[in-house]
Amino acid sequence: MAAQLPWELEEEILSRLPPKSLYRFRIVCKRWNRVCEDKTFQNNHLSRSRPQFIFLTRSKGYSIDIINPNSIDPKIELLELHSSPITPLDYTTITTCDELLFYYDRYGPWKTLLWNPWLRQVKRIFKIEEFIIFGLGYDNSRPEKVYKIWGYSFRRHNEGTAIYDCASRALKFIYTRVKKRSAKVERKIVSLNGNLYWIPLNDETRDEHIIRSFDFSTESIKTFCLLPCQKNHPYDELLLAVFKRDGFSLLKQCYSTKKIEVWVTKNKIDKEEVAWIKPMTLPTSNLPTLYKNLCSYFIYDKTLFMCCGYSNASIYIVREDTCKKFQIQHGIGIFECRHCVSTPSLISVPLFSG
Amino acid sequence: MSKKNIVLKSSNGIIFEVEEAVALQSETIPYMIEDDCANDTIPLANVTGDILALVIEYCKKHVVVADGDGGGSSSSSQEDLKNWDAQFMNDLDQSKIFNLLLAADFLNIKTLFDLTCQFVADTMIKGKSVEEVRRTLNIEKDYTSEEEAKARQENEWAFK
Repeated sequence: MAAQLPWELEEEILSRLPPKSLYRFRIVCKRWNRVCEDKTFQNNHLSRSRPQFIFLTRSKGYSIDIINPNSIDPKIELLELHSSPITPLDYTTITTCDELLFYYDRYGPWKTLLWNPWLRQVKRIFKIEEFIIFGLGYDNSRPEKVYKIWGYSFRRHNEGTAIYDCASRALKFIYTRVKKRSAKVERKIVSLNGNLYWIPLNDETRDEHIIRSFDFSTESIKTFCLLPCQKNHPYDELLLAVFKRDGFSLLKQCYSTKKIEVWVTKNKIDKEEVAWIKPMTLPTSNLPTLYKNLCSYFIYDKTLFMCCGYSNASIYIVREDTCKKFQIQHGIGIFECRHCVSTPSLISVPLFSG
Repeated sequence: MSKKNIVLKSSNGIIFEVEEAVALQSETIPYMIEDDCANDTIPLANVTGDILALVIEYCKKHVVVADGDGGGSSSSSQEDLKNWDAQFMNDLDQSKIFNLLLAADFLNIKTLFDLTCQFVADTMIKGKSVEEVRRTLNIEKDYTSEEEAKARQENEWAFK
């Protein structure tokens, strides 16, 4: 008869299982059932999860995991997601707000969803008429996450930036200097700890890019920090992403040489000054052009993982002096797609009445 | 560089003499050295000789790589180490694995602890049935049959 492990160790082992296994094993005993709902356990579990790509085509959704990323022979594994929203992709954006995925159509006629693909949970957000979505966040000064959408309402006689409260369904107009045309940057808005961040040109100097933020607690925009690098050419690409759940990474690609550099923030993002470090140098050959391309990426274990392309996308694993490319196989022929980065988590989609 | 040796004694009285750098991968041992500075032998009342031998084998393998970490160890040697770890775990039976996990926890050797937990998760739990998992971890079913059926129904998607 096997010895029984202390509960703390059992919990340590469980925190290393994928969400689906944990849900299957909820019936092992009552304790294993409860642990899935425990906040501390959910956080431990999340901190041990490696991000994956979520990949949507016109007809199906997939998660893409990279098996043995540091070996000579890594493999990519596509698993079909059965809770995937199916809509035309033309105006579709898929992005994240902490652990949840936020799926929407730019002009909102089809679907706006909160989604945890790992738990197959989908929550539809009530349709908002004549509203361009910028991003999803929440007031981080409050204990509960009340999800809110920041965007631009273009109702006749009542146009301007507004916040939509997903729970109460109320639309609140706020004054910011953001113009309707800002919607074109909306695909690149990043949500972190409830706030939204993006990289515009500095309004005052017009010659440098900065990070600006929208704070849902103060309902205002401010300049968040300077960048560790600038564009040298208008087609150079600057891409912001979440790094290790509470920091940022910044990817810069030089348009002419295709060289990619990556910086990450040294500490977690809060009120302190932001310090950037360069965790690695990357090779310059075989890299795709990111300008006018769709690129999702994350940094994990000193490796850059990229998914690139609006159609016939490829995965790139880039580290030290190697760059490996994997064409994503999805049936045959040309296919359109959208993708983003998501970390497998046990965090449930909230049950507001949407 | 002077090499200092440390003497460890298992619960069943077996003595192991190891280099300090090997032993210091354990975050517990430094405290024991401080506490028992008069005594040269560190008694490990929770770890038997056969398990301590495994722990030391692991620490010896990993000490060299930790040494060269200043310049960043090359990816090929890291891969070799990963392969070694996999082989090391594969050669153990279940009771040894559990005792190794307890020892890694007690001695606070983070990488060995992570390795063992992940191995148990991947090979002894992940692909197994509910009944197999109960048996492996010696967990008593505390659901009634009705409760179990209901819970199974609620989480049905996870069984596909």
